[in-house]
Amino acid sequence: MSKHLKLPEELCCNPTPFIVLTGLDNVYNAVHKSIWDAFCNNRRNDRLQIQFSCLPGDHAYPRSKTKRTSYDWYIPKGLLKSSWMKKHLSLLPSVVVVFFELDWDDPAWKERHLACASRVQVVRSSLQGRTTKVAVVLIQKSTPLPPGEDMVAAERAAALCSACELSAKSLFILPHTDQLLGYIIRLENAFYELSQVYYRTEARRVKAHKEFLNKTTHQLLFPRHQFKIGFFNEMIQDPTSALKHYRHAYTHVHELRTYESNNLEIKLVGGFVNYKICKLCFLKLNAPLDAITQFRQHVEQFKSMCGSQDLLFEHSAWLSHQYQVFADLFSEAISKGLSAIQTQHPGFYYNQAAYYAKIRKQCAQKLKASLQDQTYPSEDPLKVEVLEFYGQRPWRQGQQRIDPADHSKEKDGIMALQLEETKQDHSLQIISLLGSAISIFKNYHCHRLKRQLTVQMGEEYYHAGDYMKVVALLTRATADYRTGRCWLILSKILWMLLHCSYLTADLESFLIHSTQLLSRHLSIPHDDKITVQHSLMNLLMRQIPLPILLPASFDHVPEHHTSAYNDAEEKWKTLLSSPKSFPVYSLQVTDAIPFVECKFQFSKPQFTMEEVIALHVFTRVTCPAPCKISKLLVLLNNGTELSVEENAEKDAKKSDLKQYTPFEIKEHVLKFLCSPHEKQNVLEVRQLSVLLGSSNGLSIDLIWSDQFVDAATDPKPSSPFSMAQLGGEKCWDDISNITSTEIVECPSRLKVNILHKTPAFVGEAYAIDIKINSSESNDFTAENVTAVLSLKQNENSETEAHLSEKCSDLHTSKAKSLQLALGNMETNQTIERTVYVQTTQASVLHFSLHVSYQMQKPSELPKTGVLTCTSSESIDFAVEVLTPFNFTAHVTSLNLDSVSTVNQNQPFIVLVNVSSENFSPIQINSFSLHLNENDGFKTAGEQSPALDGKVLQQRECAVGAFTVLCDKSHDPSTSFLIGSCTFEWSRFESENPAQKVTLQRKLPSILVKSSPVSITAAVPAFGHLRQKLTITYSLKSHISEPQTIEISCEGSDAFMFSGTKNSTGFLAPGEAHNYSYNFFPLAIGYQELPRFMVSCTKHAEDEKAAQKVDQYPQNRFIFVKP
Amino acid sequence: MAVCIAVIAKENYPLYIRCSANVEDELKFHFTVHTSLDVVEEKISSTGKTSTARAPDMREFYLGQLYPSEDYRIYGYVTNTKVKFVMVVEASNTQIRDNDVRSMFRRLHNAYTSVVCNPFYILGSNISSKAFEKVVAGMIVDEQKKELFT
Repeated sequence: MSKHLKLPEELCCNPTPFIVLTGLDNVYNAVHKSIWDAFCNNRRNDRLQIQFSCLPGDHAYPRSKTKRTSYDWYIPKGLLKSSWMKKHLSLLPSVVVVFFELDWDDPAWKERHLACASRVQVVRSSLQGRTTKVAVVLIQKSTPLPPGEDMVAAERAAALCSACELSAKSLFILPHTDQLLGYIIRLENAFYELSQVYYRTEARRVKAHKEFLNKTTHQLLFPRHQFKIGFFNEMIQDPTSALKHYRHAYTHVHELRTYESNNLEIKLVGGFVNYKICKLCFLKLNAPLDAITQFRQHVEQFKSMCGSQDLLFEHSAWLSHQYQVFADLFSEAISKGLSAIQTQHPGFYYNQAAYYAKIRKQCAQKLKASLQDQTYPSEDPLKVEVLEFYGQRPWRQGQQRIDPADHSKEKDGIMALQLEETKQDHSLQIISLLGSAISIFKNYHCHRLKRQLTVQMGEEYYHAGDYMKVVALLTRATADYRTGRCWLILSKILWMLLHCSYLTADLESFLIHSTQLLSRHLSIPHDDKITVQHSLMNLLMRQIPLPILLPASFDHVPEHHTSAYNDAEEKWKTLLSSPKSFPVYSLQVTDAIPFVECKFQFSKPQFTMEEVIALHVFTRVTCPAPCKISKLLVLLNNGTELSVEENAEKDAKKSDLKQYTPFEIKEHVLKFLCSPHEKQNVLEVRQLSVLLGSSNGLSIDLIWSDQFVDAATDPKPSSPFSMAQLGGEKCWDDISNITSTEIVECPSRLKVNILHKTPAFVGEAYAIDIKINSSESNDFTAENVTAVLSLKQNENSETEAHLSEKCSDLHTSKAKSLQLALGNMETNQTIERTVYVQTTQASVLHFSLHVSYQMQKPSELPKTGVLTCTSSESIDFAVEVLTPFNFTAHVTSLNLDSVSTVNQNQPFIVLVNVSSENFSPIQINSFSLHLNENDGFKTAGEQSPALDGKVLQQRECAVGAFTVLCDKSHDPSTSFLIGSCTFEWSRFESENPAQKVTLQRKLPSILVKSSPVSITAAVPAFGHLRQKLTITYSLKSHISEPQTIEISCEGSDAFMFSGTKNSTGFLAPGEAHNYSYNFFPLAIGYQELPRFMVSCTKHAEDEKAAQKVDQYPQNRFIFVKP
Repeated sequence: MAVCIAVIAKENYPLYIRCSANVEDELKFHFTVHTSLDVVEEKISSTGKTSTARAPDMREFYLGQLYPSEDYRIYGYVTNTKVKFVMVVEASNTQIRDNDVRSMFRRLHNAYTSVVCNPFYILGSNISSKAFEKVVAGMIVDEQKKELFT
């Protein structure tokens, strides 16, 4: 950046009040040194913003000019004096403080206080004509007494004030004690107030000039005065009013008339004021939006003021600087806590600054061309010691005229500026601006903008001649544009990259980028593409590539570029002639867009093991000229590598790989067999690679993997309307990758039949016949035929089922699956096997039969010998298992009434009911009853073999009745199992005796009541109305003790009766009594007989233990016929 | 009217880009369109966050002006299928107002919908429809025609 355009330091700093301390001897006096340090060192942020300076008492301050009383004849020479700010910041103090060591009780008071007064006088005289405040500080050893107590002090202070012509408020005491810092801070505050008064008066004084000014001659003074007032206000730390005055100054600057000669001055001062306004808004007043609006207006207004055409670069430089300064301010505000948004942050301003810097560079380059034979003027017009006004030309300072006075001088001056400009390193500036912008864009989620700037930066490095950097930067940027598919941009970047790779002789980069640049997606002129291809082919044959030239838009070729071409050629020569061998450069196609495109398809989605697998590989090249591919390699997931190689020397016919014409689709069919031991049944392509170049030269390996598409293609399937279907030629886009195929066994040529008579019955040995017939053609022997029958069961199923090959083994077998080795089978041979299954529960059993075998077959591919194929077949079937019959058993009284309780010694009937629901007839071969003799159950009377030999058809049932009694006494509250019964059954007319099934079932349980007396009565089946009916109840004792019995018979409405109604008797052990009654039925139907009741009392020794048991006869009802 | 109109796929690659015929540096607009996606993406994600309660199809398609540039105004529009339209207008063109841009985008959206409705158009491939071309040309060339007639 040209020095004269930069913002001066005094403008950029924060204005602070300037105060001078005198009378401090920092070198020899330790006390003074400590006072000075307390003022100056370790100033923290909470202290006041003051600029202190320690000067000797007789220091000469800038002289005051004679104040004019009228501006009538005054013509200003410029806008803003370059010395003014500096003067007020660091030369002209607002307050001068005189330090003096003097105690109130000093013995030499008289002399000392006069010495002090003379010191003050010296200071005053050097500030002649200034309104600078003077203050005196007495450094005292003792702590002062509270005011009003020390009479001597008050009196002497007054005397000192009058001697020094000071107001009492400007005299301070600084006791030198250990609380120095506290005193200093208080002093500081007092000085600060004094300085504020000073600056305020100054500001007011400047303001007062306004009245004397007129608009015609003093136009330059309006902005100057407002600027000054603003500056003073900043000194007072009053940003609001400072901003107000700066804004006034800014409008005044705009009101100025501009012409070529003062253009720079106005722009520069306008820029200064703008800077001040933006800075105040950003950093002091927290009004960032105001700052942005101000800046936008500023640029808008000044953008068109480009000034002299010869100095256009200067305008761009100034604009660039404006943007940069604003961006710096913005960044500073952000670092102090301002939050910016994605669309409004300093990055944009840096970017814009870079943009103008580029324009400046372009201007400068044009100049360079026109200034080639010009020499720098012998008398340097730019040489000047100090510029009085900002923005004026050194060769004509202080002139405010529209036309330059001396034209030749003017010309020389402009020429000097132009020559200076051509010496600038513009690229470096642009790069640094872009760098700032990039680092800011990174923070605001603008990675695409960042990329664009990276590309610009790369271009700039290109112009600067740093080709290595270009390669590094642009390579990084390619990925984004590739995924974004911005082909136009990518073409440009790759071209530039290739160009720079050529210039730096970067082999790998050259190979990779040229491979991509040749792709059909990228658009560069055809001739250039051909050059690129030739270069690539040359390189692959280890020859020097052709120079790659950039498009015409990059017409500017700096002088070092021509030499760079020569260097590059040398570099390539040395690189390629070195004897070392180069590695194979590999390029992952997912990260690139190469000019070779590959697709492949398995010809079928499924192959049997005996079949030859065919993999079609389609390739085409999209480069402009024909080219060679030396090797094509496919890697499968089982580790097989298949390749098509160029074997031109050996076999001319096989050289179909050799030449590819552009956009011609070549198809290679790779045929191979799957190895028989391959358990993996999905065959996939893992990787596909295309080798370009030769083994003795250079080679590059393009690798397709994962999605098998390059970065320019979607992995999605293409349109449903293919050109081939519509009758057109085969179209590249219609070929879609089929990356996997399934390897399956050869189809089985065995016929498997399963015969069985469903349903099966529980417990039965159920026969399943398996019939296998081989129908394999051509007399191949099916070897090792193995059938596996297995039972499919749920894990939680409780059904127990067993399989066995022999019926008799079923009880011992626990097998859930059976393997049947059937040996070898000739064609048309049939094997039959029977398998038995037995289960204990009704359910559905699911079976699967898996038959597998091997075959030896000659393969279809030559030279591969005999192929072993395996085949298999599975059959699933289900068997329903039913219970053969339903079994129920009841207990009834002898009258066939259902009972749940029986009396001891009283016979009862067990009814056994067997019913069949199934359509296949069942024969009950034998039936036997096993009574529970331990509990006293035994048969009463003879038993008939009621069920033996019975055949049950569907829905038939067989009933057997068995009379049983219990002769043991039991606890009446628990029931007892009567016993069990055993069936032996088989399917009707079954020939196989082994298929007889024995089945055991439980008989019901029953309660048994013990009774001391049994009552039996012979009751006829029915009676007639009004006909006598004689019933005899016979009582029999069953216990070994004698007992008393009470008999009663209660009357009933339905009967008249005669007989013992109520009597007491005695029953000896084993004795029996009979009681006869004559009943005379009075009503018809089922009638309850008059209630006969016996209650017996045992005669034990103990009377109390005597038990009384009531008993009733069993038959209490009778049917009365009319 | 517009200097450049672009249609960007859901996956952020251009489906269609066309610049005014009198533009010298077409590449610059490719860059501009590409970089404007930064802002579009940010705007989509921020509206997604704040208005999760609202139904996605209730979202405003028009994104307004995207980012500040000295010479151009860049407008964005996102359809419910996340296809983006970007329109670049010269900053000096003050006749065109926000509402005009909005209606232009709506017309563009309709044209795009017709393109997608074509059964021969493969979703995600470059747009080469004549009808669409015509609509875009109408938006771009307008200015030159006006000059011719006046």
